[in-house]
Amino acid sequence: MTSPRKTLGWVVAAVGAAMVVTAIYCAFHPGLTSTELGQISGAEVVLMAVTVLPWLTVFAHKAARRFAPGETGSGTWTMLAWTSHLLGAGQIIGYLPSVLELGPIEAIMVIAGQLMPATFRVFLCIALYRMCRAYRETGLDFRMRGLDYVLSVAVGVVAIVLIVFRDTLFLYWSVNADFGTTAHSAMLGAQTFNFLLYPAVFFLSLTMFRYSVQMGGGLVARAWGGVALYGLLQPLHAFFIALGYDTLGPNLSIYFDNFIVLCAFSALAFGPVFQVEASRLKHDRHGNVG
Amino acid sequence: MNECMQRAVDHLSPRIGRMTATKAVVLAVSKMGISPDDVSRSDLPEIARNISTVLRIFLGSEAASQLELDIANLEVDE
Repeated sequence: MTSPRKTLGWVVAAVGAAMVVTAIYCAFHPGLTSTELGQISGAEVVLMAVTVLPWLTVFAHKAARRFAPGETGSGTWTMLAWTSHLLGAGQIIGYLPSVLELGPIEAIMVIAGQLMPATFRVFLCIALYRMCRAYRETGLDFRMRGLDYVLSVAVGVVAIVLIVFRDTLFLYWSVNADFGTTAHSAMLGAQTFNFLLYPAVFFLSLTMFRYSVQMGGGLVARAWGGVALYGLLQPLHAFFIALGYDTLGPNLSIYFDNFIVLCAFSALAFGPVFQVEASRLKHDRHGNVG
Repeated sequence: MNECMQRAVDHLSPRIGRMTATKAVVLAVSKMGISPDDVSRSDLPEIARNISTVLRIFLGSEAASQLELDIANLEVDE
């Protein structure tokens, strides 16, 4: 295991362990209010954004430099590197109002926390589309299966469910923040835009994930498989929130959903780390065989 | 798959995966118009050139060039 991969593994493990300890603490303190639980849940997401997502930015830049200008890999990793700032900053801006009292700008922050990651996802779709096309152009018979199309349609249905449950999701993302009528409408619009993106993100991520599986292992498959896994987990996260947040409140995030978010961010961060490792120049002293 | 092709696939697999490596090498050999069983050590440089496009997509130019060189210079008992 290379050093960056190992270090990132320890970072993810440490964050995961802290979240487990937090969940146990919350379980033994039933008197915690919904506001306090919302603060804890939001702080966990901010912690993930600060500790895990910077790896995506740094290593996506490094991965892009392994490709020549004009090569698909260069363009896609560069795109992910620059737009990853939107994802990371969006998480911090979006969840900070649940942790701290920030006054009238809270609503704007939460709306920005919707739109910035959504913008990242638009560019993620472009990156995945370009890579999937490059894979097919190799002539190596990468293809989707029938089940993949069925799953993609199912996620389209999920997107509609999310729109139906948008008030529940509003509660989740606006926890501990004050909203006026206009800000409320803007937030619902931003959420709906996000939900409509999910089927596209899921379809392209599933395509890339399928191609990665068809590669039969290897570092490149893990790189793009990781990026794709983020796109697969993201709608799942929103779906669980839509179904359970109304009943369980922030407990749902602390005991379950934030672990999905950690898996999604980790998969995304590991992607470029694997790509850098795959594209690393190495003089293989054991290349001669026979 | 004979020994030459197997060695090339083994060399590529850790980076691009066994199935991709196998398909890429088989495709390269088919482009050369020879049977997979007849591939010899002397064919490796051309196989390396033929898989360069695939390697550039997955790994980038520099790593692809190095792997091409590695494949071309693999030593195989025939």
